[in-house]
Order: sequence, then structure tokens, then C-alpha cells
Amino acid sequence: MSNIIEDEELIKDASGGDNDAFGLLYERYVHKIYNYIYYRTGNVNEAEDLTSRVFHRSYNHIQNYDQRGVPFSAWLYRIAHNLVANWYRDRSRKKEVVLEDHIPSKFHFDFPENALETNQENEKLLTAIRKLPSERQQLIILKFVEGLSNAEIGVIMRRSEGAIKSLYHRTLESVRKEVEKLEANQESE
Amino acid sequence: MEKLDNFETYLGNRLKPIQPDLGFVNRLQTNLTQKKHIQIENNQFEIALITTFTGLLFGAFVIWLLRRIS
Repeated sequence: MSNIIEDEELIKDASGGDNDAFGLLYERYVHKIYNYIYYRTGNVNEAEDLTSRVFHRSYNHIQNYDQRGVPFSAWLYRIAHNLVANWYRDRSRKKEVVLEDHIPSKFHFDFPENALETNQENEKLLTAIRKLPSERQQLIILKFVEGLSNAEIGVIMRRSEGAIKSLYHRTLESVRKEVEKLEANQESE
Repeated sequence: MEKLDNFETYLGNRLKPIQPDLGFVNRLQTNLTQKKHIQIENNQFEIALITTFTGLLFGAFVIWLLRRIS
């Protein structure tokens, strides 16, 4: 969120129809938005589709973006959060999320036995995270994957820094308990 | 508390950013930056005016018709 001054100029130009300015904003944030959506959905195809929708929506509504107090990245994260929420709602009407292509390729290692163990470990962790309420999943991803501070997360989630800190500790505890529960289930099987 | 700190480190080591497919990133960028700005004409005011005028005309016709019948 350190590019706020430059963002303002680009947003002004993009609002006036300058596609190159929007292209620069896109380059700046596409990886972050993609990561956020990928970790929320656990599916490459959905991540690409929803990332695409986020940027088309922001392109079409950039004139409505109000810069006062909300960085452009926070606006994009809010759009992404809403689209993911809609995706989950539509998906719950159809079927459960399939945990098959959840493991990022970077987690694959050269040694098969290590790869299997690491992937199982990551799958367990992601399963635990996805059992959390939506806002807690959002918090965990923004904190660890995006590396944002509590204050920055607070702007995105429309909460105070203190409220985020408190929610963060409760969320950590929930994930830890969920992981332990999954481990206990695995051992009993 | 130490348990939670360790778990925080564990999460930090596991949850890392991933790289999206570059083909996808480039395709989407091309798609967005070559998009034409389409200005949709805002004709809601005209539609509202026509609807009101039609309603008034129809109302006047109904009143005229009722008077003729009675």
C-alpha cells in the first residue's frame, strides 16, 4: 500500500480513459489479488476466472472509486472478497468444494516421499483454514500470504487495528485446534 | 502462548504467495488495456418522462371515457 501517491495519479488517468494507466495498476496488484482468491477458493481455474472479474469490474467502475482513506488495493480486495463470497454461495447450492488441486506447485519437492508428506500437511492446513468463517479466512490470507499489517487489514475489513489484533489471536487458536482435530482424526483412521 | 507463537511460525512457513500463470496474466492485461471505453447513454430521464406522459394521457382518456359512459 506504499504506492498510494502514484496510484492516485494512475487512477485519475485511468478514470479519464487511459488504458495504459489502468494497465500499470493491474500489473501492480494482479499477483496479490490472484493469491488472495487462489487461497480462498483453492482452485486455479476459479482463481483465474474471479481475478479476471475483479479487474473487469474495477475497470468498469473506476470512476466510482473514492480515494478518501481507502487505498486502491483495499478497494480491489473488497471487490475480490465480495466475488469470492458470491462464488461460495453459488457453490454451496451446487456441491462441496473439491480439495484436489489445492496444493501450489511451489510446495512440490524433488523427493517423492517429502513431496507427499508436505502436500498432505498443506492440504490439512488449507482444509482447516477453509472451515473457518469467511472473515477469518480473509484475515489469515491477508496476514500470511499477502504479508499485510493489522492496520492495513483493518482498512480492508473496515475494522479497527485493535479489533483485527483480537480477531487474529482468536483465529490462530481456531486454526490450531482445527489442525489438531484433523490430525487426531487421521490417527484414529 | 508459546504454542501459539510456534503455530504462527508454522503458518508463516506454509502460507507463501504463489505465481499465477504468466500466460493468464498477460492475456488478461491485453484484454483490459485494449478494451474500448463504451459510454452508455444515460436515457433514464427520457424514459421517466415518456412513462409519466403516457400515464397522464391514459388517465385522461379513462376519465373522458367514464364521463361519456355516465
